[in-house]
Amino acid sequence: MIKSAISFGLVYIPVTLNLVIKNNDIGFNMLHKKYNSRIRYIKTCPECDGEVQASDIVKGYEYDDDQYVTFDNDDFEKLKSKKDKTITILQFADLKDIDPIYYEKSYYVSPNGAEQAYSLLVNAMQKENKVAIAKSILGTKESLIVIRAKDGSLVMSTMYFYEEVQANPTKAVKAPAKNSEEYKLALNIIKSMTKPFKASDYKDDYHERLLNAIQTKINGKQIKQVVSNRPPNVINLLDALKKSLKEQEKAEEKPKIRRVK
Amino acid sequence: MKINENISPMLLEEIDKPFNSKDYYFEVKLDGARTIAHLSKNGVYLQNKRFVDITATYPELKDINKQVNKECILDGELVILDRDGRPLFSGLQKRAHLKDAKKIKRLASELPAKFVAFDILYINGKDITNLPLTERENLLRQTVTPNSFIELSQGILEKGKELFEIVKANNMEGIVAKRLDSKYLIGKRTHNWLKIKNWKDEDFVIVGFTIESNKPKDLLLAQYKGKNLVLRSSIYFGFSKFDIDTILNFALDNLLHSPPYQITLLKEIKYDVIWIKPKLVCTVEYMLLTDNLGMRQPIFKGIRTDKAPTSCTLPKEFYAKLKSS
Repeated sequence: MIKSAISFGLVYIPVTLNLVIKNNDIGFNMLHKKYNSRIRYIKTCPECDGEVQASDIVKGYEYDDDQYVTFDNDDFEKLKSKKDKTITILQFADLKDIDPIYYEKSYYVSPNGAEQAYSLLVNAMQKENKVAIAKSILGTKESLIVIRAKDGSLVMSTMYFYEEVQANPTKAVKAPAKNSEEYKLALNIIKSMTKPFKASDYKDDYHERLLNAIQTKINGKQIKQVVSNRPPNVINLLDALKKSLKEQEKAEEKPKIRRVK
Repeated sequence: MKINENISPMLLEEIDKPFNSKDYYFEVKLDGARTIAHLSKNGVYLQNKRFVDITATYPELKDINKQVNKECILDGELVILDRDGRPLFSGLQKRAHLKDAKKIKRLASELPAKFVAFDILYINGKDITNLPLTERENLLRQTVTPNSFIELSQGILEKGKELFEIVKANNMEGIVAKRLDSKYLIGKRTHNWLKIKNWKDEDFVIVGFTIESNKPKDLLLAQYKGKNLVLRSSIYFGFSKFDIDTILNFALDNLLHSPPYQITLLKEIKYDVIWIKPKLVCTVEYMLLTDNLGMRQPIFKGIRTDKAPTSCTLPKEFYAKLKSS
């Protein structure tokens, strides 16, 4: 949970930020095979050959070979002004103008006092159907942020800056002939495979198998098979084909009906 | 024809382009091993094209005789499928030459095989190869109850072009076209049964392999242009141990310090190379890359002993490329 505030014109709304995504990764520790003991990382220094304590470590920027300027926590803190820590709205825009490649992390934004001002912002944004573009420093890094109203509250996503996005290395490909059979068929396949996207339809199968395997080990059993010993069915191509043929028939029938009228 | 007596399967003639016709039945071609299954009350007998008994290699198929209601002989493809149900030829290569019963058992569970039936040649003591395909198809469907280890081939009437497009979109091997009135001609290749491939296969001479950290890495594949060999491609050494051993054993007795023959490189080699005498021929199957004549996802299909190295010739399309390089 992060405490922050949204600054919107003259209004100042204290908020708390909660990450939308929970980290679902299963953590493994590195162990010494022989003793099952935890592997320890020791930070060492080549000058004194000894272990270096965290309090003795500073960060250095290498501006030339072996030439560093150093920064400690105070140096970083000084760079942030109070204003930077608040989320300052800079403009409003249409959500569709933002390319999804810019999105990084999402947070739920809850009011922390000043609920009226919060509600005002939510409702005004909903009415105008706009999203807010803002900047703030979260942690040590300046972030570009988009805030949107969703089901009566605010949700924000940090975004990458324009300079961070790399040019696309894909070379331009030739467009297919618009009336070629292959192209029409491709259109039909897309049509027949289209349905509303529901995130809950898709599950991380590997994650589930890994959890089961861990449980099996805890219960003291050996993992016998990760792969099922029954083969799946051959991929069904006929259903897709039949669907696409039906679509084609429909497409061919439509003009005839109009002519009759 | 008798149960458990080897049968030479009917073969397919290859043509270039898919077509539509009311006289044909079109099926999805699977990249597996052509197999004849003899199913009776007494059990299962599986044989390949060369009459080799492969029953013990695939113990998971030992009960598929319970999925038929009559004694019968089926023609089909033995496949190993990935999780999406696409044939995995590399899986078959891992299993094909195993002899050790323990290993066979372990792999039968890790990479289980499946028999995909597409024809029926014999029912209860009667040879039915003279019946037209449509009738045999009906009998096949009445006889077999599919389960996890035996399945029926997927096919459609008339729409060959459309089926080929779906096959292409799914990166599968190709399609088969069979005349609806075709009889089953044992061991024959006629234009009543056709194949149209999405993948291409070609024969190459093995001229050596590259070495990375003291291990063979890629096999070097060449073809003849006149008397000269042209190195055309390479393929990762990730195929069956049987084939790898064959090649390495051959290499031991046939090492060359440098290629004594004229060799033109169509491909840059970044590793150390061990050259061997150009005597081994192999077949490689791959998806076509349209722009630069390259191979996508090449699959090593095996060593060929029935073909002379000099008859592996470079296709004419490459001549222009040779001049420019």
